[in-house]
Amino acid sequence: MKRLTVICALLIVCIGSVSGQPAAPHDSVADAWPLTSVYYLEAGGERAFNTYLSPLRQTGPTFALGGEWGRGCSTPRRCLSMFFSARYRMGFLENPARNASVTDLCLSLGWNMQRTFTPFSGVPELNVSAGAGAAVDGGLLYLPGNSNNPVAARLYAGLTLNGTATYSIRAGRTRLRLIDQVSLPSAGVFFSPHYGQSYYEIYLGEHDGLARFGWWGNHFCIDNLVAVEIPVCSTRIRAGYRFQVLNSRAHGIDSRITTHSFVLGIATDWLNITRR
Amino acid sequence: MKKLLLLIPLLLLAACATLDDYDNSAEGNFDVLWSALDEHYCYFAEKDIDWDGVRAIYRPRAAVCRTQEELFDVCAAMLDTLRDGHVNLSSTFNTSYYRRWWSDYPQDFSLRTLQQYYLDFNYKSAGGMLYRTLAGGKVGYIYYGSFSSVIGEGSLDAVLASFSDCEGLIFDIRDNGGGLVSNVETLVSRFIDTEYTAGYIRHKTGPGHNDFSTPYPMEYHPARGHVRWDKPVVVLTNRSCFSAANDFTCAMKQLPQVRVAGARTGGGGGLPFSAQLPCGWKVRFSACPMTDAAGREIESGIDPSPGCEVHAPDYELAAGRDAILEFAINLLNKRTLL
Repeated sequence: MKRLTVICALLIVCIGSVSGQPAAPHDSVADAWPLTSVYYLEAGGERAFNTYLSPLRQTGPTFALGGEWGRGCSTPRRCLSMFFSARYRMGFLENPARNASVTDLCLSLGWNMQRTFTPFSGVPELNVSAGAGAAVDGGLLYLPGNSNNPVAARLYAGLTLNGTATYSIRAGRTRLRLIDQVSLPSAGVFFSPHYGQSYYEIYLGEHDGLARFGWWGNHFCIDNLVAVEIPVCSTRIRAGYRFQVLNSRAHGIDSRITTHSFVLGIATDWLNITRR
Repeated sequence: MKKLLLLIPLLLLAACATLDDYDNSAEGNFDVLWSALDEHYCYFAEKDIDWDGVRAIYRPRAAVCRTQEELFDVCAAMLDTLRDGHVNLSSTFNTSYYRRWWSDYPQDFSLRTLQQYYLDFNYKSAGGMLYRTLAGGKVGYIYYGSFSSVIGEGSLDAVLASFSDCEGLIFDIRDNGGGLVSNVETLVSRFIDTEYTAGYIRHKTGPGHNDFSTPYPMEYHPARGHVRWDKPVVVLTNRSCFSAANDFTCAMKQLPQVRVAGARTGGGGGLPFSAQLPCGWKVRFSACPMTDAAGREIESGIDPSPGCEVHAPDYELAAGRDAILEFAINLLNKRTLL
C-alpha cells in the first residue's frame, strides 16, 4: 500500500515539476491562460445499499449540481492544466416496498493537475490528459425510521487519478468536442463505524479504528462522464451522461452507491488580461 | 508485470460489495428477518437462545402463511422467544411487542393518584417534568414520564433551583418507557461533581453471536455552569421503567447520595438498531449491550437499593395512597439516606 501511495505522490510531483517550464514574456493576449469554468446540473437514477442501515437495496431519483474551474492549455507547450471541482448530489430513495424513504447527500471537492498530450501525431483532434490530485468526499445515507442506526456517514480524503480524452469533430459548420472524463480515487483515508457500533458510542469517545486506509481493495470508486460540447455564441453547452460507483467494504459493512445521470451544463472560457 | 496487470481486476473485485436479491415471498421475508437478528442481536448468549432451533420451528410455519397478517403473527411469535421489550416488528397494520417484561408484574403506580392526592393538581411543568415541593416544602418532587424529548438545560436549572430550600429530592420515573439515551447523561450530570463511569457499552464486531468489542466506558461529566444537586435523592421505579429509564436508574443507583426505591425496573439494557424487510416491515432489536460500572448486565432490570423494595398495591392507589412515594418521603424526612 505504501508503494501505491508513493507512486501517486511521485505522479503529482512529476506533473508539478513540468510546470517549471520557462514562462513566456508578459503582457500579451497570447500569454494569458484562459480560465475554463463549467457549471452543470444532473438528473438521473440511483441504487444504494449499506448493510449498516438495511439489508435491502434502495432506489430512486438523484440530482446534482456542480462546477469545475480550470486553467486550460492555451499553447501546445503549456500542456499542464489545473482544476478545482465541486459537486453536490442528493438522492431521494425508497425501499423495495416503497414505504420508507432514504436520503442520500454527497459533497465532493477536488483539486487536480493534468498533463495533456496528443497521442497520435496524425490525429491532432484527439487530446488525452492524465493526472492526479486530491479529493474529499463526504456524505450520508439517512434512513429516519431506524432507531440507533439511522445514518450511514461516509468521508473519504485521498489521492485521485484522473484522465480526460477529448476529440474534436466537425458537424457541418459546427465544431463539436467529445469528452470522456474519468476520476478514480486511489489511496486515502475513509471513515467507517464498526460492524454494529452505534454513533452514540462514537459520541462517547470510542474512535478506535474509525479511520481506515482506503485503496482499491476496500474502497473503490469511479466517476465517468461522457459528454459532448456544442458551441453556442461565446460559450459551449455540455450535454452528457455520468456513471458513478462508490463502493466500500470495511468492518464487515458493505456499501455501494451507483448513479446514472444525464448532465447538462455550460462551459465558458474566461481570459483575464493584466498589465504587469 | 503481466501478473501485476492480472492482479488489478481481482483487486477491484475485492472491493465490490454484492447484495443478494431477496425475494418478497413469505419465506424470503422470514429469512431476512431471521438473518438480521442472527447477525446483529446481542443477547443470544445471555438468554441462552438456540436461534437455529427457533428457525427450525417457525420457518415451516411461515412457509404456509397465505396472508400478510398470518406471516406477521408467525414472525412476531418468533421474536417473542427473545424475551426482549426492545424487539418490535412494525408493519402498516400492526406493531408487535413483547409485553411480559411489565405485564406479568404489578404496576405500582397511578398517575391520577399522584396528581390528585399528592400534587393536588397544583404543579408546574417544564422540559417534560412535572414538579412541586412535598412534605411542607422539605422535599422536592419531579415526575419524569418519558425520555423521548430533549431535556432543556435551562428547564433543569429552573426546576432544581426551585428546590433550593428542600432537604432532599424525589425523582420519580415510574412508567417511564425510555427514549433518548443522551438525556440520561444530561440528567445524571446534575447529580455528580466529578467525572463518573456509569457503565460500559459494547458493540457487535461481526455476525457471530459472540463477536463483541471490548467494553467501552460511558463516562459522564458534571454539568459545569449549571445548577447541580448534591443533597439526597430517591429515584422511584417500577416494572415499566425501561430502556433509557433503566439506564438512568443504573447510573443513579451507583451514586452515594442516591437510593432507588420501588420495584425492579423492566430492563432493556441493549441499545436498539433497526433493519428493513423486503415487504416493507421494519424490525427493531437490541444491538449494543450495556452494563453497569461493575460489568453486570442490566438487560433484565435493576433492583431497588437494599431495603428499598416497596410496592404500591392497586387497591391502595385507588384509595389515594402511593406507598412508594410515601416511603421515599419518609426516607428523606428521617435523613437516614446519607
